[in-house]
Amino acid sequence: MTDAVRGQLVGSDARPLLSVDDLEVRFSTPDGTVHAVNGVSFDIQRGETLGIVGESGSGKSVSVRAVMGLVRPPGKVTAGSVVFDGNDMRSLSQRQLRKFRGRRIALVPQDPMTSFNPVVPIGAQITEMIRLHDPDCSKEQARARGIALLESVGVPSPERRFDEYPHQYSGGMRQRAMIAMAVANSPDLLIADEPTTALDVTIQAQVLEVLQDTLRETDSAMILITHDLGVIAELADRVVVMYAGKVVEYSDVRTIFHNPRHPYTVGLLSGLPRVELQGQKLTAIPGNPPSALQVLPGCSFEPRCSIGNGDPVCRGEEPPLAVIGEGHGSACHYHDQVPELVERVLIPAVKGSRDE
Amino acid sequence: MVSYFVRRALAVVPVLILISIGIFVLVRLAPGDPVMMQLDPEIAASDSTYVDRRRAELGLDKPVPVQYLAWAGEVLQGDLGFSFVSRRPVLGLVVERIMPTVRLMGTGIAIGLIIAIPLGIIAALRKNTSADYATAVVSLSAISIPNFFLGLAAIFVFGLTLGWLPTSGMGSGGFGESIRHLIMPAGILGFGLSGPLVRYVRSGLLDELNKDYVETAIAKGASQTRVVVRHALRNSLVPLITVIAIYIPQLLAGAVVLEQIFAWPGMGRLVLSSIGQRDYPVIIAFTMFVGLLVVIFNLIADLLYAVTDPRIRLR
Amino acid sequence: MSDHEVRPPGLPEPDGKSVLAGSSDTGVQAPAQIQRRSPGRLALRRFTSNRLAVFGAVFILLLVVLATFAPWLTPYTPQEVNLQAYRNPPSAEHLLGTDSSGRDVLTRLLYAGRVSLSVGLAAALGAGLVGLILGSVAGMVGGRVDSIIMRTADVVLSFPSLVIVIVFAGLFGPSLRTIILALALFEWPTASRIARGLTLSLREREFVEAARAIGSSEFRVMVRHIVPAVLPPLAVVVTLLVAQAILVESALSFLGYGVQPPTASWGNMLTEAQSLTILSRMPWLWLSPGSLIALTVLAVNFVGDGLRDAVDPNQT
Repeated sequence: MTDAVRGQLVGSDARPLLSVDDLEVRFSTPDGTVHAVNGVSFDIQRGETLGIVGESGSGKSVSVRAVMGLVRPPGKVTAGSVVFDGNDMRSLSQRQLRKFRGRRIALVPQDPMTSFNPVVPIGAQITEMIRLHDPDCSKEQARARGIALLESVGVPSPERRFDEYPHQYSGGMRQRAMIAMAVANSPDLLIADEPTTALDVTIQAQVLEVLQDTLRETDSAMILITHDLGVIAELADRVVVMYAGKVVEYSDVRTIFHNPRHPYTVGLLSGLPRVELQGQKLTAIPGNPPSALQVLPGCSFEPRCSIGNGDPVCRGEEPPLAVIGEGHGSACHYHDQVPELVERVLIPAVKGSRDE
Repeated sequence: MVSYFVRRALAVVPVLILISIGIFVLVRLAPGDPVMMQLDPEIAASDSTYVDRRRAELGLDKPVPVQYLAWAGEVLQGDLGFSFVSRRPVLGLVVERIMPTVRLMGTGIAIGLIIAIPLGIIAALRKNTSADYATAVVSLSAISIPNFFLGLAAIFVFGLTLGWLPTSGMGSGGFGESIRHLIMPAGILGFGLSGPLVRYVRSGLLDELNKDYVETAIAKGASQTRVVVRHALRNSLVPLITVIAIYIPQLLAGAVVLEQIFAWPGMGRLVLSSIGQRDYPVIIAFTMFVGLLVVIFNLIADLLYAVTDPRIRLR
Repeated sequence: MSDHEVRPPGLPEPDGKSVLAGSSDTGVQAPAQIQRRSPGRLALRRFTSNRLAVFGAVFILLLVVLATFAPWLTPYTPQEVNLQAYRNPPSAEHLLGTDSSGRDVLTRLLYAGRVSLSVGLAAALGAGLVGLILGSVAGMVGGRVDSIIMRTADVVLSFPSLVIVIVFAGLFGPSLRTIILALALFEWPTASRIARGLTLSLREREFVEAARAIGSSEFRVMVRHIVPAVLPPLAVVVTLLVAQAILVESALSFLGYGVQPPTASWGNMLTEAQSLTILSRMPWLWLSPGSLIALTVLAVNFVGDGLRDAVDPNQT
């Protein structure tokens, strides 16, 4: 990675809260090694919200799990560095990592239905979070804090609901409680992994609002993983677009929407890949997300790309992540042709949807 | 929840009736005549009126359905008839044998869990290591070694050679003596049960460890021990209750054999001697009580399941 | 890994129930290989790469050979009483000693193997057949017939089969036929559940629908399409039932309600050991038959587990 890109990704302040550099995660399977994350780098400043966008399998979830040391076998972080507030996270023991998890970095998982222990009351799961990192906190104090937290995320009659079990909560309420639990120890960094994907559309907005309010109060930074650019537009300050385990584009949130410079980003914006994704019929489309088992030379998006498909350069040479503007990078040989693609694909699409 | 159990309990009644009819018919179709068996063959040959009188006394001259109805009516009044052999009321005979069997089985289940849970945890956490394979072999051995052979071997080693443990009976002294008498038969029963249980603990724990809430717990900063014991294990043990309920019949069968070897005064010993003597009322009553015992254990399992799983408790 | 998106399609689900050494790493094949090999050969390959299963198969095979050729392998006959050789410990003439009637223990073990193995096999096959018929009928016909059959299965299953078989044998008199019949009549529910489950899932599949559409009768559909599909998983169940049947038979014979002396069975060779004198002073009389039962059942269980992993590595 060039110094120029490095400097770009660091953003304004000298020392970021979290800095991930050239991260590599592999999964050894009986079929071979899966290259889930291939040299991903990003930074995040205190109080900032970084959006990471990409389809399923793009490696975004694994990347942020590596930050917390949550990559589980057969997965393994094989290269790169993760520096959180001056601590080299990869060199820490599990015992040392525990001091960070839940205390300084907290996770809001994707599915609130399955992410709470079903046989433990919600309140007890929140107080566990508190007391794990504050052993001096009495049960009564923890309870009071837990109830206050539930109240702060808008769980009605928190006194009563504190002792209820996860299955007695609705999906939206559960995700609120999950957010309450995540911020219980005022972490410096919140990792929200598709926090609204599993929820009804009507509830998604409410939960996002809760997330936003909570962030404002605790002044935490957040990494927001999603495949929904609408969510990004609402919450993120900067955006990283990932494809096939690599960062293909990064910029501030305005630029991503107004001046995307990677064909894949354009695809995301046009919503087409999302439809494919939800249909889960990726194999039906020729050359869809490359098998992470084989590493091909060239651009991994080439088979699906409307600019470079079949292009010998795209096939033969992997495009580097190059700086193309202020805080803006793209990994495309033909990034200067992308605006034209936007004209062709995106604008008619937007028009079309308006005409309907 | 109460109505749930009442419903469960009521659903069992037709099953019990079905079983009782089946057993009753089976017993009556069987060759061998209880009156003849009780009599000196010479008397039976010379005095046929005496045989008929005895039959009438025992109700054996009426048609089988009538006998069944008469018997069923008496059962409902708590009267299970008299043993052909000891002339004592069957109810009393069976009831005094139930508690020893229940004690044996209950202790066996406890020992089975004590063996299976740690082994299952080790196997799951050390998946695909030699520790895992060793546990698998132990578990298969527990299934494969006949309990009577283990019983004999245990008596040979701990009773006769080492002289550590008593080899027969329940002991009539205090608590300590009862425990000493329980160790071998209940231990063997429990070891046999641990075979399948280890597998279920292992696979259940592996399933749970793969679930999202486990990652949540790790992400909270909980230690591995805490994640396994407080979170995953508890969830994986809930289905284990059902597994134990499924194995209750097999456990009972094991108890019958072990009671014979260890001279344990339970239902198994009673029925084995009754079969030899064609003591029909006792055999029938025993079979009914086996059904009842299985049903009761199943209801207990339902209850425990509801206690451990809030999703059922609060339904 | 809760992060499902990173699990590539070929990544195995954590294998839950496979407990045998070597079975787990054979569970998943590269997709290309699966397409090239026939399911049967693939299963065979999986089975043979499971060391414990192969060991079990070899052990059983050896046992069958020894039992079959027993008359040529030993100078004694199983019923040959020799009061001079009363309860002799193992020696050069009697490798495993002699029993209370001076009969050679090794010889009796070999002949008893014939009885125990054939009773186990016959009972398991009987139970498998009953289960196959009842299960596939329940699955095909459905409705009332289905619920009657399956409720009966529940009742039979909720009863300790050993106890029922003891009652059965005790009442009708112990004989080989009684044991086999009783076991077949009370061990079928597992097999019937498998058969029913598979029948239900196959019933709606295209090729069965197609057969029906061209006018095949229900019976023909069952015999031609359902039964072959049910056979492999049923073979697994039957194998495990063989182990179960050998255990039950030996317990039954041990208690005196099974194979009757003087015919030797592994179980009744242990009956004498209930006497404390024999138990403490003549361990050769009970150690060898007891260990042989344990080893045989273990071997059959190894084979059964190996077959299960081989037939369907992803199942249970």
